[in-house]
Amino acid sequence: MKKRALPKSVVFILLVAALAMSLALAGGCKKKAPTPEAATTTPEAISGLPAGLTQDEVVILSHLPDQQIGVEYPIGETIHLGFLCALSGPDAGWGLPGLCGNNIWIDAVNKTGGLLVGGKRYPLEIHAFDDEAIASKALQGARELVLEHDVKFISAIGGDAAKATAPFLTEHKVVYASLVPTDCDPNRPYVVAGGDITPQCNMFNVLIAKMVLPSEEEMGRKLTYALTTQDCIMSRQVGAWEIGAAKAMGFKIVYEEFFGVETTDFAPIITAVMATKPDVISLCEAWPEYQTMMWEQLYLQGYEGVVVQNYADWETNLTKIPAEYAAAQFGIDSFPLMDDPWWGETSWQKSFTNVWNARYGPGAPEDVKRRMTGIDWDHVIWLIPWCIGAQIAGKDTPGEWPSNDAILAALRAQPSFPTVLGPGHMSGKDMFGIDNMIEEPVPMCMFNLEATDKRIVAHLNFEPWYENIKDVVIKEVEKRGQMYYQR
Amino acid sequence: MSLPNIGRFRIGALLLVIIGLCIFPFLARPYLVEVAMIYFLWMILAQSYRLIVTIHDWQLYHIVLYGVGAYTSGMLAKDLGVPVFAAIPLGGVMASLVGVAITSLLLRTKGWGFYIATYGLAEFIRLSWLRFRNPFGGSTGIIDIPYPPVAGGIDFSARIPYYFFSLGVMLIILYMLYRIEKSRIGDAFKAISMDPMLAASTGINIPRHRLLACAIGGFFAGIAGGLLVHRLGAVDPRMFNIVTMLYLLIWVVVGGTNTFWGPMIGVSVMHTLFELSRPLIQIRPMFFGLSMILVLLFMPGGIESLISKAFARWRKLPEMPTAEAK
Amino acid sequence: MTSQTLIQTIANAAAVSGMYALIAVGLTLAFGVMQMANLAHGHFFMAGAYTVYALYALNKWPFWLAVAAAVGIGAVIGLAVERGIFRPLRGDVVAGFIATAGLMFVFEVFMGEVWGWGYMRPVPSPYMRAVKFMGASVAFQRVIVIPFAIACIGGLMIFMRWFRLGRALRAVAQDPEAASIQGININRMTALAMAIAGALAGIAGGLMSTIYAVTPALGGHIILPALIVVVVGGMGSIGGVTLASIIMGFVNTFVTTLVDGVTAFMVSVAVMALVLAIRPQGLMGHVVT
Repeated sequence: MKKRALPKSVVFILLVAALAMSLALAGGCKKKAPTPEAATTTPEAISGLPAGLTQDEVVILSHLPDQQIGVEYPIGETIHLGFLCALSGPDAGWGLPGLCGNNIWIDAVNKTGGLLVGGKRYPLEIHAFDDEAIASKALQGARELVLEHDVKFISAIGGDAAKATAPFLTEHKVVYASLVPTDCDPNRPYVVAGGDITPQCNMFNVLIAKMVLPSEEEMGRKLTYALTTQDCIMSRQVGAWEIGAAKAMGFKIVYEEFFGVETTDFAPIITAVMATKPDVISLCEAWPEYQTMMWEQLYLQGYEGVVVQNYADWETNLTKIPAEYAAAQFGIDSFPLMDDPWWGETSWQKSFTNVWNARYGPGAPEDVKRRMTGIDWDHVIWLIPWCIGAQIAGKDTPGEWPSNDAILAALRAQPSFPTVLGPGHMSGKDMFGIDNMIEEPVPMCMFNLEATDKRIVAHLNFEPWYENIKDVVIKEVEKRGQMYYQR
Repeated sequence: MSLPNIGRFRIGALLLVIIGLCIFPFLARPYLVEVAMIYFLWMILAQSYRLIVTIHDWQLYHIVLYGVGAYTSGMLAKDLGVPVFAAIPLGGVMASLVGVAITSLLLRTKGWGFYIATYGLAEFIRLSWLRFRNPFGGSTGIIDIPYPPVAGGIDFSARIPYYFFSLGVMLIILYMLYRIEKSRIGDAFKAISMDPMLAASTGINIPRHRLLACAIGGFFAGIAGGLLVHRLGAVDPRMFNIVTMLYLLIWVVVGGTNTFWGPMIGVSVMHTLFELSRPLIQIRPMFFGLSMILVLLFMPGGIESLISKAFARWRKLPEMPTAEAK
Repeated sequence: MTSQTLIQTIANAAAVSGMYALIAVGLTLAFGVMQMANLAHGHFFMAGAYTVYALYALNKWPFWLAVAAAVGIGAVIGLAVERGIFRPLRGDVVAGFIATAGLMFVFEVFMGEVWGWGYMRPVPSPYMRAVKFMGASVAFQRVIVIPFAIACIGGLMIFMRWFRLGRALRAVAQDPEAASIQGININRMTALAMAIAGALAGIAGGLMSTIYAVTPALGGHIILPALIVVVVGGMGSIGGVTLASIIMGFVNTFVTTLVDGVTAFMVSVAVMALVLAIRPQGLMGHVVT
């Protein structure tokens, strides 16, 4: 390498020093602390309420049984929460937006002084760590969150990361809220799930698909089902349950393949799926950008059947396919919009939407330059019940923050508590060996041509339906090695 | 550098550092102890990479050898019940073999083709971990990898004993690399790196020495992999991708490869910045890319060249001749 | 495989070959003239894609005007990188390649910070329909890449053969010393080569912004297939790139359809490694001295 004059080296040292200093300074400033001053811009603050709290936030806080807004209590120590997800890279779609929902909840709580537990108000603080969807990084993040920040509750996506962090977090008794119940396991007493009502919603996809298709008798043959999605631990788990439901509903499985996550060209994949002539193609847990490309290929290669999936992003999809095609293939998924008219003009969901728009929407102070997605509220689905459980358990330990064991036990003892998607209760022993999953009503959506977006068409209760089909389903899941006692 | 005071100064400084490292885990927060162990691994990787770089070339498969060591050691310990302390060196051996195989395949390839081919073959190996769930675990990787057992009354699955274990292994490896540098083989390596044609004309068998360097470097990279995996208890293919390899490249380039200490300086400085900049994780890669470009343009000798210049000025000595790397 | 699937797969493969050719031709040109592989070529491609996203999707410019802008931006980026990185480091193979690796990081963060991480940036398809031919159905957006690839490659070959500047480029590629003795200004030639390479990357990225998912990770995804094509074809050989893109396009598509994408990737990489081991100059390249 050629040598250069010394003065430039001095320049370089100065640059590095400036770099280091600016990193350190910026690092200090970027900590995610709750900022009660980052108020929403909804005009009316109700008199008699803590400053900055809006009517919509009061509605959001209404899920708490005992927040006593406006009543003074002594302030306890800050309770730390973790957000351990992919914040960058292709998987960030399932993680990063969740911070928005969590922040909305945390700031609302903090505006009232803190979460009221056992006679004290505990402010909440969240710490984010980017695990880039890599299991070992997740473990590193778990260590930092617990050892450095003493977090008691972690919001996460789940899958590989749940597996890798479980031993450490179990040892430290930290609740890990995964999105997918298939992470629940009796050996992981603190892994909870239910935000994403997966695999129940995937299984209901089968039911809705069956309802819109002509019957076996009319077709003169069995209906056929194809599943194609990326190869990740979640897809493998969820896919097994979905196939089980398809078999139970009388479908013949003609294609069941998982493509690598490095895939960029979906034309050959869709070609391969369509070669098996399926009546239903399920994109299962396909990541948001994959499902867009897959819909595009389905349209271009002329697929004429039902398309189901876990999460459809119509804003992006409609830049590649015409709305008529989406409607013709039904576009069934189960991530409802929070501003769906189904919820009603005054509802928790509507208030959440208002607060989100005021804070993160176009022109707002923290404009995220995108629409609200399902993930924005997907993580807060568990955070709120955890707070509910803390309030209930806190009654037995006044002046002290209850243990996670007590919080989970308190939740399990409730016949019902409010969740983002409706009244829920703890469940899961049958499917996953432990009651660590929140079971709530499952909203099923279809693409609606008039609205050029998805609309809820049904709100279904899982357990009664599952009772009838569970033998067939469990057999299929076992065959694929995905039952909790096999993993 | 034959002046005795400098030799003693150096040894003194070294002892101080080692004593500091021994006291460190008892004073620092547990999380920092974990971070320190990661430093040790990077030191091993950087120094072993330097060996290969100075004799042969800037290959892009080194991190995958790290992975080979990790997967091998993990799978031996988990699936075949091999004791951890034996699995780790076996992982090193496997990594060494793979490194030698790749190098021999590419002995005739030079220049650009060489770099791209090493990248390609490394990816091939990494993709095979991804593709074959059985036995590599696919995208999930492998979990429940056993921790080391209790040995001599000390429980090596605990944090501080493992810290000393990895510290010890790192020091041994660094010492071995240092001795190689100073030995006759090291002289042959130096001759090859300075002037291959001249070295060949004195009868040094260049391909054989290159393969030897790759074997040694690969072995140590594999050992680092074993150390990693028995602390984390898990391994997956994404940890060993090209981005990690590029970071290793940055650490080594910024540190400089001319002297033995260069890569270690690079790791110390750059990895610290790396950890400190975690809050800015999204823009962090840009800083590191920029620093690499700036170093290459303005300070190709790396930080070590700066230090040796400053040192020489301070002691009013003539500057050390730096070999033209190419 | 049924005949219907076979025809469809052939059609898919042909489209992909065109895409590979358009992406790789700039890379091989830059290499031929400067003897340096630009690892950031995929990121130039990504810059072209983001240009079309920003102008066409966000600001509603006409599609083809946005693509033309992408060409311009690609050329400018190529010139800047040549001046800032390749020229000072000329002759230093390792430094050049490490520097372009650093550049990759810079581009990726820039795109992510300005336009966001996470979800892909959707670029609406201006021609949202398929071309149907013999029972196979391929996106129109993909099919039009083929005439562009042919035009660019053909144009480049004509330029290098019949135009003085083009012949000067070839002279520099063959023997820089002899060329400079002839009075050819090496700096101007390398600048020209990088400008053209950047422009080609820009047009490829702009055209294919509707086909690929436009995210900051796009550059990294594109570079390896492009490198494989360039290496297999012969670094610096335009004819080689054409041949190699057809081969790799078909190999990739067929293996993906018959087996899966990861295996296809492994096969491509194995093909490249074999070529490098047995015939390091590639199928149609010249021996590197």
